[in-house]
Amino acid sequence: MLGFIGRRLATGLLLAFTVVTGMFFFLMLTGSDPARGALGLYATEEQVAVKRAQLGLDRPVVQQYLDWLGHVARGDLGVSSAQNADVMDLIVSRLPVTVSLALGAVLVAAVLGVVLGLLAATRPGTFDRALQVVMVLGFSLPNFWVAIILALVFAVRLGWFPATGYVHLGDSPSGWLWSITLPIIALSIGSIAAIAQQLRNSVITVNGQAYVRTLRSRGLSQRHILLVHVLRNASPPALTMLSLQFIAAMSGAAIIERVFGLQGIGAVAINASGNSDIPVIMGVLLFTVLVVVLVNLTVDILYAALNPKVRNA
Amino acid sequence: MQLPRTLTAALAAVALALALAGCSGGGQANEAGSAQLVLGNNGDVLTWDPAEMKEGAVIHYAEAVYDPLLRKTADSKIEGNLASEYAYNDDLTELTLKLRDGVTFSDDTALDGEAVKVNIEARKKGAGSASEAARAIERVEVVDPKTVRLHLSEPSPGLLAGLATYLGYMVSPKALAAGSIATTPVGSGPYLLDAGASEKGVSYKFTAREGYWNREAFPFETVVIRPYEEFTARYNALTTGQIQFMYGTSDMVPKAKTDGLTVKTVPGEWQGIILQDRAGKASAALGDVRVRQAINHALDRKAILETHYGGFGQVSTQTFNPASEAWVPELNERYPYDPAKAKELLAAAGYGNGFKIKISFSEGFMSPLVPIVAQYLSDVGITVEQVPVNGFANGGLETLKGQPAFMLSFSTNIPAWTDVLNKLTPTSLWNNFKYTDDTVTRLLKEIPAAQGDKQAALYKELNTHLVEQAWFAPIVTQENVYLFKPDIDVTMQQAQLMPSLRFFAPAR
Repeated sequence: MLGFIGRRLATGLLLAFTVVTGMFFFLMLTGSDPARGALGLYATEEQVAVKRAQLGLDRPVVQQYLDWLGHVARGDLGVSSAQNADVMDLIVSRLPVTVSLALGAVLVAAVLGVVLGLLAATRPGTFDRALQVVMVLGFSLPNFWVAIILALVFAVRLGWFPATGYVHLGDSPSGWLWSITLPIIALSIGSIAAIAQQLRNSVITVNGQAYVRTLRSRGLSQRHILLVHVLRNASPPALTMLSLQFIAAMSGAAIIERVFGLQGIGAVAINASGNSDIPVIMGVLLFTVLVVVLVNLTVDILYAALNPKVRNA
Repeated sequence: MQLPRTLTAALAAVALALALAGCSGGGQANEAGSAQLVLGNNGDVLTWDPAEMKEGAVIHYAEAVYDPLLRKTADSKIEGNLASEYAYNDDLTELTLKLRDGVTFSDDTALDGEAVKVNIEARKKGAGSASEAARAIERVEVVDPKTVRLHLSEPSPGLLAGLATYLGYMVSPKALAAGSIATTPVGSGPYLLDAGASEKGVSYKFTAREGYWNREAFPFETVVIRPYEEFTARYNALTTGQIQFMYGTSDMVPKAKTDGLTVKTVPGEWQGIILQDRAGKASAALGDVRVRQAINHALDRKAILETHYGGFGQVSTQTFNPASEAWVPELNERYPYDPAKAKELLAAAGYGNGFKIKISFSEGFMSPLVPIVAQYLSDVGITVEQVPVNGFANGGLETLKGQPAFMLSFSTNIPAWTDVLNKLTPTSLWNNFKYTDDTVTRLLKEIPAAQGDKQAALYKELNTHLVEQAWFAPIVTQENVYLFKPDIDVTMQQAQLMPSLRFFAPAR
């Protein structure tokens, strides 16, 4: 198992290295100017040139890349070119918002997706068809639209939730839960539908297999067969879907954060893009890629736990 | 199938926690009150150094902690502030400022002539909007501890307005020397930043500073500023009481009124076309004034105002602020919608069969307007190739160079000299072909050297010339929209994106 994890980890880190390297050179090729982005339209060419030199942008691109990589290896993501903030501090300070949303959305999607998927798979006919219609609807609704509607109805009109803002977990656990509920619902609707649909199909497939009929013939209860035997074999595709939904939630949070006035990683990334703030863009990218690698690694480990044959693949 | 009991219990616990949170969270929604002013802002403050600040909504952050040497009235006239008196010499090349007694910074350093000198010198070196206002300042002379004289290379009509904002914000000289001003503001302004109660990018709390010399002008005990980039989030925060004031958009007005908000407007930006290739280098047709006039006649401004802007704003052929000294109301009648006249002018210029032109535009908010303009121009035979440009701050500006025309939203200012510097001189940012003519060259020399009524007359002459020569094809001057709760009152301020903090007061 350790060898399996090591191989997967090495592959993931190679992927992260390739992505950030490609992105660094891609950003440099786009012609965007971090010095101009930091100083604004009315700065003179001389001032922009000075800023460019301060940021080290007058050096060869390869040298800039190697310097950046060297600093990253020492845990230093540099300083934002548009604002006076350490990139690592910026990301760490905004991390709780985005992680709360993404983890919360995946948790809600996992629980409700599994429940709805099992209900749909085990209750064919009208109930299944009705649930499928709801799932398709949930999957097709854009989450920013859902967010706007939720904010209008439950925050503005009914006043049950705050319209904007984030409360830190350490300041008030109930306030924290209160502040992230609507964003999480908006972010998870599509994921619930996707996981439920995936699980429903897998359960129906596994339910029809010979070993399940054998278990039934031995007099085991339907619930036992479903939760212990069928779900274990039907869950890998849903697990893959769940990992994809986590990654989608990380990126989808950028839009949801704006609707609810939350200052998370998404807000940082959008503002950095507007200012050509390459250190921040690269920092956010590195962080996001590492999260993707970590999630994929976790899913691979869970796969291997569920199915030992995977370990030798 | 039934839900497992543990899952049912977990869901019940979540529901209970939410219910409890809902009960306990009401205080946040009602945070705004008469002793506290809570402002929604268009964006975050990226630096506290006035030398690096750019104009815009960031002025509220700056005004909370810094005080300017001069200040603007509601109609953007200039009056004394930290400098209680100011006067030019006869040829307008020296400005003498007399400083108010007893003013101190929040680190207890006294405001004196040396403090003013180091501030202005620092501002000149910066890349913010203050450096443009300071460009003509050659030397700062400290005449005595309470008197400072600015020596100018040439008369500078924008200097006083600059001293009323970013150029004039005074920072403690100790903080400037320490190099910490970008992250920690130390000013002589009405409030102190409460760093412990603030969170970068989320919320900034300012508390009234003891001993501030002009306390009655700032009646709130605390001011909170919360940045919201997204209009929807800002509006939701306003209607639910999380903030009391926001900069809005015209399409929010009907709903804002039904939601019980106060709505006020002032003339803001103009939108239209900069016909920048007036020498006809990239588009020979634009080199002929009759073609530029034809473009102006081809636009049905009233219809565009009603259909595209919902009636918010005023049709305009001018690029100056309606409250500025350059504004001439009659000029708005110069180019009535007249397609026949437009075709006649095109034919006279030798373009009776029409011509093609590229029009660049800022992708996003201008995108819906460009096809409308293209249709009107098409009706008189001008085929428009629409060229979207994205991200002016990131290199998009470079793509405008060599383009014959482009559409944008442009600020209008008081004094009008700011608009002159932005668009009319050969070195202006928005004059990429560096075009000028004899009349403009003459007026740009005469205006700085004049004052009062004489200067206003010269501005009007300049404006009339620009409209007659059709340097631009403006469509409307938009209204800036401000929405606020009935528990505060806000006096509108001309030609400034955000009204100054001293124009906010509890409702009477």
